[in-house]
Amino acid sequence: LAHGEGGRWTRRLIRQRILTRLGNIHLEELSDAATLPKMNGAPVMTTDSYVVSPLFFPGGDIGTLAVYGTVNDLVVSGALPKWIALSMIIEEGFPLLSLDRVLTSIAAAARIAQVQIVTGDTKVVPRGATDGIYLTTTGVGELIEPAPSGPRTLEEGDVILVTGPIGQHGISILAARENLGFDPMPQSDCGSLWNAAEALRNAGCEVRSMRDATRGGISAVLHEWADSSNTTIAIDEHAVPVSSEVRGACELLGLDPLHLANEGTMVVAVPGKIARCALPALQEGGRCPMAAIIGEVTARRLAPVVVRRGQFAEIPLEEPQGAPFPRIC
Amino acid sequence: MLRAIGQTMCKTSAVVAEDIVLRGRLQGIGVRPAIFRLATELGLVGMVRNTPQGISIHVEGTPQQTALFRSLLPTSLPDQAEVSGQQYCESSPVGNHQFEIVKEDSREAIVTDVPLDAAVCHECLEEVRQPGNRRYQYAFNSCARCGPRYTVIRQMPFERADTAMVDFPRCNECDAEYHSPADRRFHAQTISCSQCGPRLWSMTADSQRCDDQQEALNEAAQAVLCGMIVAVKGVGGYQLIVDATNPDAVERLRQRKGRISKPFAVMMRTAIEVKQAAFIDDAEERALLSAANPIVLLQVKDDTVIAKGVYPDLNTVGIMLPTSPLHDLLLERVGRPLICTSGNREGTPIAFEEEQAEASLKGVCDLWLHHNRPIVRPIDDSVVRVMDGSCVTLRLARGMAPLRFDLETTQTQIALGGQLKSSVAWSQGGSACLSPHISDLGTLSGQERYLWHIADWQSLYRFSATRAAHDCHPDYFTSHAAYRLFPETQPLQHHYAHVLAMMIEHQLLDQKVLGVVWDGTGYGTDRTIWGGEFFVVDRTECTRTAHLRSFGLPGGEAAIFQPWRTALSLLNQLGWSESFEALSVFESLRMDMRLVNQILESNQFSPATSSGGRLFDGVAALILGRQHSEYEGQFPMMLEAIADPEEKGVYEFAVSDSAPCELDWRPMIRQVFEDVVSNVSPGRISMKFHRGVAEAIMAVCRCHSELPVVLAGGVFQNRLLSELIAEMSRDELLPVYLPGMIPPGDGGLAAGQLIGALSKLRESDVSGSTR
Ligand SMILES: [Fe+3]
Ligand SMILES: [Mg+2]
Ligand SMILES: [Zn+2]
Ligand SMILES: [Zn+2]
Repeated sequence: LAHGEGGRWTRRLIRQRILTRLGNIHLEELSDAATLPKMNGAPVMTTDSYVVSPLFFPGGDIGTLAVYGTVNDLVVSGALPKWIALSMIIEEGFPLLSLDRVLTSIAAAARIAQVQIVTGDTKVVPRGATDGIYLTTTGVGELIEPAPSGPRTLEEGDVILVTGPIGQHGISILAARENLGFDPMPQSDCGSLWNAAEALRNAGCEVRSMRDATRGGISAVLHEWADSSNTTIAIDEHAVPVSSEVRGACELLGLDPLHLANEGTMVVAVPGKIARCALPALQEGGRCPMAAIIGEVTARRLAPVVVRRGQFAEIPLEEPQGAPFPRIC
Repeated sequence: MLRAIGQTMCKTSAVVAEDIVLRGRLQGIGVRPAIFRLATELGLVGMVRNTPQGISIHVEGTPQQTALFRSLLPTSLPDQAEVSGQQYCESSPVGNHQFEIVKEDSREAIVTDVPLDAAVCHECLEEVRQPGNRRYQYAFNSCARCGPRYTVIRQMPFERADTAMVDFPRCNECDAEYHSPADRRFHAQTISCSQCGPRLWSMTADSQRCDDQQEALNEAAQAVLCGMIVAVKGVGGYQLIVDATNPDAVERLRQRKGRISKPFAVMMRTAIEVKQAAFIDDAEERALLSAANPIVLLQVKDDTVIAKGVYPDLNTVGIMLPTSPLHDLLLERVGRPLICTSGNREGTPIAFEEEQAEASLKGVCDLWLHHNRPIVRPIDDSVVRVMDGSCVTLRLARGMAPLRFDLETTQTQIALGGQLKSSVAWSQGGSACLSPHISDLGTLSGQERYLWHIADWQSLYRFSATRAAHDCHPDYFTSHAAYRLFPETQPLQHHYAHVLAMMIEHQLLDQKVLGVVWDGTGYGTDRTIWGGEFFVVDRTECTRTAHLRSFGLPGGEAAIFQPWRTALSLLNQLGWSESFEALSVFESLRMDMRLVNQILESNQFSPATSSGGRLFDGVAALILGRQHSEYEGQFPMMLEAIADPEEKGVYEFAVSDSAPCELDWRPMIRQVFEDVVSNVSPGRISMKFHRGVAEAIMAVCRCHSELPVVLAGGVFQNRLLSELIAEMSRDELLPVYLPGMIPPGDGGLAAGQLIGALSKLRESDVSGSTR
């Protein structure tokens, strides 16, 4: 891929590679902005940039991440995801084959998540200005009432659930980046959370808060929730679903799966009395067979989040910071 | 005779008065009664009182009487009294008619020492064992010299009304003893008897309560004899008591506590019994018999009755004598040595209240033996080990702490210690204290207990710190506590603090020393993990002059519990990973080893360390052929236990001439590996390794032969290593100081942090005034 040849060349790139894969009514007009139909609910909007390295990893790539990441941000806000704007910054010399792969992934993910890519932008920058390709997606969705009441409304007795095994994405990225030969390789959980959220709604479950546990893992989510509601969230270590691959890799690397990123797994807080309806809703309707109740909200104590090991030892969970790093005193 | 002299003098001379103030560890050991006796024998009038500053005396009499009083005073005090300062000044007579012991209530900052708990004395024990004595079989017997002190004080000065004994008014008989100058219970604050004192009761797991004290004791003893686990409320908190000669009972305790192999302490009734079970020299016997009543680490005899499961894979066991009459009564009834370990779940702080103990030990013990004397503040048992003829504190706690040390400062300052084996230190009103060992800070309840203690000590010692020194590790809980609780914080490098602690121990603060600090882990100024360090240190400056060659710790903390990872990391630097993987003892780990090898190259997953403790771990894994360790220091302790003293060989370290100088362990690990594959006995390899480390440390010391050397850090809890160094230094006439009262491990860290922070303050004062 070359850059600097101006409009004509870029248009060709777009027509040949992008429209054929992502094409839909709005995009084919090739105008600078998409005019969207009226919605019933309030519009919800989000944006995120994707700079993941490596670009391809077991279970997904930067393209899948860019779609699901933005879709999930809409879903956990209580919205129905509808449209996405896609911006690509491509490094000069980036292989066309890789670009095709990313575009194909974007198209597939958009189809599965039932969103349309309605407008976009493409820039090619000199070598070294980016690392292959960066994507930015902006999503628009429609709010479905009643929306979750928000993390500030968490109270003592609320129950915390997780929709699936944790740490999959974080470990798959690390394994790919560090060339670790795990067997089997842990796969990223990259995927849409729409079904899970929809299942909770269909079952009539009152949800206090939902959050896709991306950077910092479920630890980051729980810390944020505990601080904004001034409570302490206690979780049971043995109740947290973790696949054996992730557990093994964490033991090796000295990491805590609670701190690892997820891209298709969310944490849900519901009132205590709702737990009995929320869990089967997630497991059956939401197609999250591994969903589990992992803990509850308690009165505020010294630490915002504690992990129970056995019956009595409560270990304060540290707040995740930056890159996952093995613990050492 | 004295009295006669006093009385005649009184008639012939004018009356003068004198005020005397004594400071030091003087309260709760019968100092005031002793002064009362002396003054009345000399015919003096006046008074003596406990004040926060110490003991204040006012005497009135003839000049000859007061002079005599002054000269006889020092030798009239009880043996345990430690006078750290005294002050005499003339005063005017107020016309007292007699000599009195006066109670005082005061809110000033305290300068005198909080009294320490003292183990039951010989006389009190005799009374309890003597049929017909009115305190026969009485579990809470105490006198002016012995009994609970620190654990029952609500506030200073030490008066019954401000202790947990306020709930137990003296009966007529006890009151008579209290007021009789000739009695050894004269003015003793904690005395009681079965009529007026605290009471025992037992509680079974299914809530059957027995209030008859003798019955309860018998029931507890019977349970122990049947192999059951009994939680006994001792002096500093609950203790789990188990028959130490019953392997099944020991195993059950391990399972219920979730403590696989960490050794337990044993309590025996007499020093004679201890001698049957273990080798014991004079210094060890003195430690065992001291009022501090510590657990003393002793080398066990092969034919001991103590079950092997009490001290798995070791040849030492911690032994103590009865702390209180209650312990003695239990030992008498059981007639066997007892395991006596703190009553808690692993990692949580010791339980000290009835309800809390019943909740937290449910499922662990079969029976509770409670009493109703409140424990005002909990404290663990102290642990000491004799090295090179003197006593080294491994855990500073009951009977020894708070440990006072003299420091020339008027500043109020607190130091918050490290993460493991936490303790704090403070200075206030011209003196400084190192607190007892607190708790593991890895659990929420441990952290809560830590903060509770900090508030409690500030109130007991009546100070309020605004400045806190802490470790420079940004993620220690104690560093977070510093930011959260104190407006001014001063970080201090971990190993520098270790050296400063040993400098105050040996009163070397005014000199330049070579500090040899070998420990597990500490945050270095280059953001790597240090722990095999040599510093040239004075009070305000610290230069890293040498250190161990660094190596990766694959998986960070995971390497501490799987020391084979460290062994692999060491051998990897020789390019010998494959030979290591080929060792048949590690066959089951081959898959894991391949993966660990992959992360050895990664700075992210194999943080670099120069830790001596971790070097011991890695070498031990290689020599012992073992995979998992349960607690930090386990492998090195096992390595020390198997060392064969007959072996005179020594492995080599190389010393670079770079600055700082690098102590290169590669020649050593090469020799170790060669000996392992050629099946040299582990005992001989271990000995050659210990000698090699001692020789390597001496090699660096020789480069600084003009400086005194202090050994600091947890690695020097290793008696074999410390004594090898002591011996070599004597031969070469190099002054090397082994640790002493202040623990060499992280339990002593706060003392060093305190000194470091105060020195910085002093320095800034000086520079401020010259500007
Ligand atoms: Fe240390
Ligand atoms: Mg986002
Ligand atoms: Zn006594
Ligand atoms: Zn009495």
